[in-house]
Amino acid sequence: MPFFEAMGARLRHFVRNLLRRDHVERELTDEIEGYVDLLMEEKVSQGMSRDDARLAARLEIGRVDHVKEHVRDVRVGVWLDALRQDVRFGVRALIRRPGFATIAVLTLGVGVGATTAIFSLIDSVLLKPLPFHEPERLTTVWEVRPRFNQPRIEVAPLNYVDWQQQVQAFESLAAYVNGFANLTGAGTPVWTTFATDSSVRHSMASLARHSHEDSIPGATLMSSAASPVPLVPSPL
Amino acid sequence: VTQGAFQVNPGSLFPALHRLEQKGWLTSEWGASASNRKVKYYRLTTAGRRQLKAETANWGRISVAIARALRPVEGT
Repeated sequence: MPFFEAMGARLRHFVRNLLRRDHVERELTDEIEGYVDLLMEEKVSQGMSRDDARLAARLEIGRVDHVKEHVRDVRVGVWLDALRQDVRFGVRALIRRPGFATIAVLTLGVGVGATTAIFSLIDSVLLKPLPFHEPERLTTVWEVRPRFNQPRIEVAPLNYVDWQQQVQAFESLAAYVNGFANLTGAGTPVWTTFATDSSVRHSMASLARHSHEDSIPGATLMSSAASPVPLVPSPL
Repeated sequence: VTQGAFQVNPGSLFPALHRLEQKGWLTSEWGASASNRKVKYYRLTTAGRRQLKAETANWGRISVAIARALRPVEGT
Protein backbone atom coordinates (compact mmCIF):
# COMPACT_ATOMS: atom_id res chain seq x y z
CA MET A 1 0.00 0.00 0.00
CA PRO A 2 2.28 2.79 -1.24
CA PHE A 3 -0.31 5.45 -0.41
CA PHE A 4 -0.47 4.56 3.28
CA GLU A 5 3.29 4.21 3.52
CA ALA A 6 3.66 7.73 2.16
CA MET A 7 0.95 9.05 4.47
CA GLY A 8 2.63 7.37 7.43
CA ALA A 9 5.98 8.99 6.66
CA ARG A 10 4.37 12.39 6.25
CA LEU A 11 2.40 12.04 9.46
CA ARG A 12 5.44 10.91 11.41
CA HIS A 13 7.43 13.89 10.22
CA PHE A 14 4.53 16.25 10.81
CA VAL A 15 4.26 15.20 14.45
CA ARG A 16 8.02 15.28 14.89
CA ASN A 17 8.35 18.74 13.34
CA LEU A 18 5.56 19.98 15.56
CA LEU A 19 6.38 18.45 18.93
CA ARG A 20 10.15 18.02 18.81
CA ARG A 21 11.22 21.25 17.18
CA ASP A 22 14.42 21.65 19.17
CA HIS A 23 15.46 18.09 18.40
CA VAL A 24 14.74 18.51 14.68
CA GLU A 25 16.68 21.78 14.64
CA ARG A 26 19.67 20.24 16.42
CA GLU A 27 19.70 17.36 13.96
CA LEU A 28 19.70 19.81 11.05
CA THR A 29 22.72 21.64 12.51
CA ASP A 30 24.55 18.34 13.02
CA GLU A 31 23.68 17.20 9.52
CA ILE A 32 25.12 20.31 7.90
CA GLU A 33 28.20 20.24 10.11
CA GLY A 34 28.75 16.62 9.12
CA TYR A 35 28.40 17.56 5.47
CA VAL A 36 31.02 20.30 5.81
CA ASP A 37 33.34 17.76 7.44
CA LEU A 38 32.90 15.26 4.61
CA LEU A 39 33.53 18.01 2.06
CA MET A 40 36.67 19.04 3.90
CA GLU A 41 38.01 15.49 4.05
CA GLU A 42 37.36 15.08 0.34
CA LYS A 43 39.43 18.20 -0.38
CA VAL A 44 42.21 17.09 1.96
CA SER A 45 42.37 13.76 0.15
CA GLN A 46 42.72 15.73 -3.10
CA GLY A 47 45.83 17.36 -1.69
CA MET A 48 44.64 20.54 0.04
CA SER A 49 45.99 21.61 3.39
CA ARG A 50 43.53 21.16 6.26
CA ASP A 51 43.04 24.93 6.78
CA ASP A 52 42.49 25.60 3.08
CA ALA A 53 40.12 22.65 2.85
CA ARG A 54 38.09 23.89 5.83
CA LEU A 55 37.81 27.35 4.30
CA ALA A 56 36.91 25.97 0.87
CA ALA A 57 34.22 23.72 2.37
CA ARG A 58 32.76 26.65 4.32
CA LEU A 59 32.70 28.76 1.17
CA GLU A 60 31.04 25.99 -0.80
CA ILE A 61 28.18 25.51 1.62
CA GLY A 62 27.61 29.27 1.77
CA ARG A 63 25.55 30.73 4.56
CA VAL A 64 24.39 27.90 6.81
CA ASP A 65 21.36 29.93 7.90
CA HIS A 66 20.19 30.13 4.31
CA VAL A 67 20.46 26.38 3.86
CA LYS A 68 18.56 25.81 7.10
CA GLU A 69 15.88 28.25 6.07
CA HIS A 70 15.40 26.39 2.77
CA VAL A 71 15.04 23.11 4.66
CA ARG A 72 12.52 24.64 7.09
CA ASP A 73 10.46 25.81 4.12
CA VAL A 74 9.90 22.27 2.84
CA ARG A 75 9.03 20.69 6.19
CA VAL A 76 5.56 19.17 6.44
CA GLY A 77 3.39 21.50 8.47
CA VAL A 78 5.28 24.74 7.73
CA TRP A 79 1.95 26.50 7.41
CA LEU A 80 1.18 25.62 11.04
CA ASP A 81 4.53 27.02 12.09
CA ALA A 82 3.91 30.20 10.13
CA LEU A 83 0.50 30.52 11.74
CA ARG A 84 2.00 30.07 15.18
CA GLN A 85 4.55 32.78 14.48
CA ASP A 86 1.90 35.15 13.15
CA VAL A 87 -0.34 34.63 16.18
CA ARG A 88 2.58 35.07 18.57
CA PHE A 89 3.66 38.24 16.79
CA GLY A 90 0.13 39.61 16.85
CA VAL A 91 -0.38 38.90 20.55
CA ARG A 92 2.98 40.46 21.42
CA ALA A 93 2.24 43.57 19.40
CA LEU A 94 -1.11 43.94 21.17
CA ILE A 95 0.42 43.40 24.62
CA ARG A 96 3.13 45.95 23.92
CA ARG A 97 0.51 48.61 23.16
CA PRO A 98 -2.47 47.93 25.44
CA GLY A 99 -4.11 51.25 24.62
CA PHE A 100 -4.15 50.49 20.93
CA ALA A 101 -5.31 46.94 21.64
CA THR A 102 -8.23 48.16 23.75
CA ILE A 103 -9.32 50.66 21.13
CA ALA A 104 -9.01 48.07 18.36
CA VAL A 105 -11.08 45.52 20.31
CA LEU A 106 -13.71 48.10 21.21
CA THR A 107 -13.92 49.38 17.64
CA LEU A 108 -14.36 45.87 16.29
CA GLY A 109 -16.90 44.99 18.99
CA VAL A 110 -19.00 48.10 18.52
CA GLY A 111 -18.74 47.80 14.74
CA VAL A 112 -19.87 44.19 14.63
CA GLY A 113 -22.59 44.81 17.21
CA ALA A 114 -23.97 47.89 15.48
CA THR A 115 -23.93 46.26 12.06
CA THR A 116 -25.75 43.20 13.39
CA ALA A 117 -28.34 45.32 15.21
CA ILE A 118 -29.02 47.53 12.20
CA PHE A 119 -29.23 44.57 9.89
CA SER A 120 -31.69 42.74 12.14
CA LEU A 121 -33.84 45.86 12.25
CA ILE A 122 -33.75 46.37 8.48
CA ASP A 123 -34.31 42.66 7.92
CA SER A 124 -37.49 42.59 10.00
CA VAL A 125 -38.84 46.01 9.03
CA LEU A 126 -37.91 46.36 5.38
CA LEU A 127 -36.89 42.98 4.01
CA LYS A 128 -39.39 40.74 5.75
CA PRO A 129 -42.20 42.88 7.12
CA LEU A 130 -45.28 41.01 8.28
CA PRO A 131 -47.84 40.97 5.47
CA PHE A 132 -50.48 42.76 7.55
CA HIS A 133 -51.55 46.35 8.06
CA GLU A 134 -50.51 47.68 11.43
CA PRO A 135 -48.75 44.47 12.44
CA GLU A 136 -48.13 45.87 15.92
CA ARG A 137 -51.87 45.50 16.65
CA LEU A 138 -51.87 41.88 15.60
CA THR A 139 -52.12 39.06 18.08
CA THR A 140 -52.80 35.37 18.20
CA VAL A 141 -55.43 33.92 20.48
CA TRP A 142 -55.08 30.38 21.73
CA GLU A 143 -57.19 28.07 23.77
CA VAL A 144 -55.71 26.82 27.01
CA ARG A 145 -56.14 23.47 28.64
CA PRO A 146 -54.45 23.82 32.06
CA ARG A 147 -55.56 20.43 33.26
CA PHE A 148 -53.41 18.76 30.61
CA ASN A 149 -50.66 21.34 30.94
CA GLN A 150 -51.35 22.66 27.43
CA PRO A 151 -51.06 26.46 27.48
CA ARG A 152 -51.49 26.83 23.70
CA ILE A 153 -53.81 24.71 21.64
CA GLU A 154 -55.84 25.45 18.55
CA VAL A 155 -59.29 26.80 19.03
CA ALA A 156 -62.21 24.45 18.61
CA PRO A 157 -64.48 25.58 15.77
CA LEU A 158 -67.49 26.19 17.98
CA ASN A 159 -65.44 28.18 20.48
CA TYR A 160 -64.23 30.33 17.61
CA VAL A 161 -67.78 31.10 16.63
CA ASP A 162 -68.53 32.04 20.24
CA TRP A 163 -65.46 34.29 20.41
CA GLN A 164 -66.43 36.02 17.25
CA GLN A 165 -69.89 36.76 18.52
CA GLN A 166 -69.12 37.63 22.13
CA VAL A 167 -65.55 38.94 22.49
CA GLN A 168 -65.35 42.76 22.31
CA ALA A 169 -61.59 43.12 22.74
CA PHE A 170 -60.68 42.72 19.08
CA GLU A 171 -61.56 44.74 16.03
CA SER A 172 -61.96 41.53 14.09
CA LEU A 173 -61.21 37.87 14.51
CA ALA A 174 -60.35 35.27 11.93
CA ALA A 175 -59.35 31.63 12.04
CA TYR A 176 -57.05 29.69 9.78
CA VAL A 177 -55.57 26.27 9.50
CA ASN A 178 -52.50 25.24 7.56
CA GLY A 179 -51.71 21.79 6.36
CA PHE A 180 -51.02 19.44 3.54
CA ALA A 181 -54.08 18.62 1.58
CA ASN A 182 -54.77 16.69 -1.55
CA LEU A 183 -57.28 18.87 -3.32
CA THR A 184 -57.58 17.06 -6.62
CA GLY A 185 -57.59 13.49 -5.38
CA ALA A 186 -54.50 12.74 -7.42
CA GLY A 187 -50.85 13.68 -7.25
CA THR A 188 -48.87 15.16 -4.37
CA PRO A 189 -50.58 16.95 -1.48
CA VAL A 190 -49.89 20.67 -1.37
CA TRP A 191 -49.35 23.09 1.49
CA THR A 192 -52.63 24.83 1.90
CA THR A 193 -54.10 27.58 3.98
CA PHE A 194 -57.79 27.63 4.76
CA ALA A 195 -59.04 30.77 6.41
CA THR A 196 -62.33 32.32 7.35
CA ASP A 197 -61.39 35.75 6.11
CA SER A 198 -59.99 36.56 2.69
CA SER A 199 -57.44 39.15 3.89
CA VAL A 200 -56.18 36.73 6.52
CA ARG A 201 -56.10 33.98 3.92
CA HIS A 202 -53.90 36.03 1.56
CA SER A 203 -51.71 37.21 4.38
CA MET A 204 -51.27 33.74 5.79
CA ALA A 205 -50.52 32.41 2.35
CA SER A 206 -47.75 34.94 1.78
CA LEU A 207 -46.48 34.43 5.32
CA ALA A 208 -46.37 30.72 4.70
CA ARG A 209 -44.55 31.37 1.47
CA HIS A 210 -41.88 33.17 3.50
CA SER A 211 -41.38 30.41 5.99
CA HIS A 212 -42.33 27.19 4.28
CA GLU A 213 -41.51 27.31 0.63
CA ASP A 214 -37.84 26.62 1.20
CA SER A 215 -38.36 23.95 3.80
CA ILE A 216 -40.88 21.81 1.93
CA PRO A 217 -39.39 20.53 -1.29
CA GLY A 218 -41.86 20.33 -4.10
CA ALA A 219 -44.65 21.94 -2.13
CA THR A 220 -46.93 24.27 -4.01
CA LEU A 221 -48.53 26.98 -2.03
CA MET A 222 -52.27 27.37 -2.34
CA SER A 223 -54.84 29.23 -0.41
CA SER A 224 -58.46 28.55 -0.38
CA ALA A 225 -61.43 30.43 0.91
CA ALA A 226 -63.21 28.27 3.35
CA SER A 227 -66.50 29.62 4.52
CA PRO A 228 -67.04 29.30 8.24
CA VAL A 229 -69.64 26.71 7.51
CA PRO A 230 -67.37 23.67 6.96
CA LEU A 231 -65.42 24.61 10.08
CA VAL A 232 -68.54 24.33 12.16
CA PRO A 233 -70.25 21.03 12.40
CA SER A 234 -73.89 21.58 11.77
CA PRO A 235 -75.65 21.78 15.13
CA LEU A 236 -78.16 19.05 15.07
CA VAL B 1 28.75 10.75 -11.92
CA THR B 2 27.61 13.50 -14.29
CA GLN B 3 31.17 14.69 -14.95
CA GLY B 4 30.40 18.09 -13.51
CA ALA B 5 27.35 18.77 -15.70
CA PHE B 6 25.25 19.26 -12.59
CA GLN B 7 26.40 21.37 -9.69
CA VAL B 8 23.95 20.84 -6.84
CA ASN B 9 24.36 23.56 -4.27
CA PRO B 10 23.61 22.79 -0.63
CA GLY B 11 20.69 25.20 -0.58
CA SER B 12 18.92 22.86 -3.01
CA LEU B 13 20.41 19.56 -1.88
CA PHE B 14 19.30 19.63 1.75
CA PRO B 15 15.70 20.68 1.14
CA ALA B 16 15.48 18.00 -1.57
CA LEU B 17 16.77 15.30 0.78
CA HIS B 18 14.37 16.34 3.52
CA ARG B 19 11.46 16.39 1.12
CA LEU B 20 12.27 12.90 -0.15
CA GLU B 21 12.58 11.67 3.42
CA GLN B 22 9.19 13.14 4.39
CA LYS B 23 7.64 11.41 1.39
CA GLY B 24 9.01 8.12 2.68
CA TRP B 25 11.35 7.58 -0.26
CA LEU B 26 14.49 7.94 1.85
CA THR B 27 15.44 6.85 5.34
CA SER B 28 18.29 8.39 7.25
CA GLU B 29 20.60 7.18 9.95
CA TRP B 30 23.49 8.69 11.84
CA GLY B 31 26.98 7.31 11.27
CA ALA B 32 30.58 8.38 11.68
CA SER B 33 32.82 9.90 9.04
CA ALA B 34 36.43 8.79 8.48
CA SER B 35 37.58 11.46 10.96
CA ASN B 36 34.97 10.14 13.37
CA ARG B 37 32.51 13.00 13.12
CA LYS B 38 28.74 12.56 13.29
CA VAL B 39 27.38 12.32 9.73
CA LYS B 40 23.85 11.69 8.43
CA TYR B 41 23.49 9.00 5.80
CA TYR B 42 20.47 8.64 3.54
CA ARG B 43 19.27 5.39 1.98
CA LEU B 44 16.53 4.65 -0.54
CA THR B 45 13.50 2.83 0.85
CA THR B 46 11.47 0.23 -1.06
CA ALA B 47 8.92 2.91 -1.92
CA GLY B 48 11.78 5.18 -2.98
CA ARG B 49 13.22 2.54 -5.26
CA ARG B 50 9.79 2.00 -6.80
CA GLN B 51 9.42 5.75 -7.36
CA LEU B 52 12.88 5.96 -8.89
CA LYS B 53 11.96 3.21 -11.34
CA ALA B 54 8.75 5.01 -12.32
CA GLU B 55 10.49 8.36 -12.71
CA THR B 56 13.33 6.82 -14.71
CA ALA B 57 10.89 5.18 -17.09
CA ASN B 58 9.02 8.45 -17.43
CA TRP B 59 12.22 10.38 -18.09
CA GLY B 60 13.25 7.80 -20.70
CA ARG B 61 9.98 8.31 -22.55
CA ILE B 62 10.30 12.09 -22.47
CA SER B 63 13.94 12.23 -23.55
CA VAL B 64 13.32 9.81 -26.43
CA ALA B 65 10.33 11.89 -27.53
CA ILE B 66 12.29 15.12 -27.39
CA ALA B 67 15.24 13.59 -29.23
CA ARG B 68 12.86 12.42 -31.96
CA ALA B 69 11.20 15.81 -32.18
CA LEU B 70 14.55 17.55 -32.58
CA ARG B 71 15.99 15.16 -35.18
CA PRO B 72 14.66 17.01 -38.28
CA VAL B 73 16.44 20.17 -37.09
CA GLU B 74 19.82 18.40 -37.13
CA GLY B 75 19.59 17.69 -40.87
CA THR B 76 19.07 21.29 -41.94
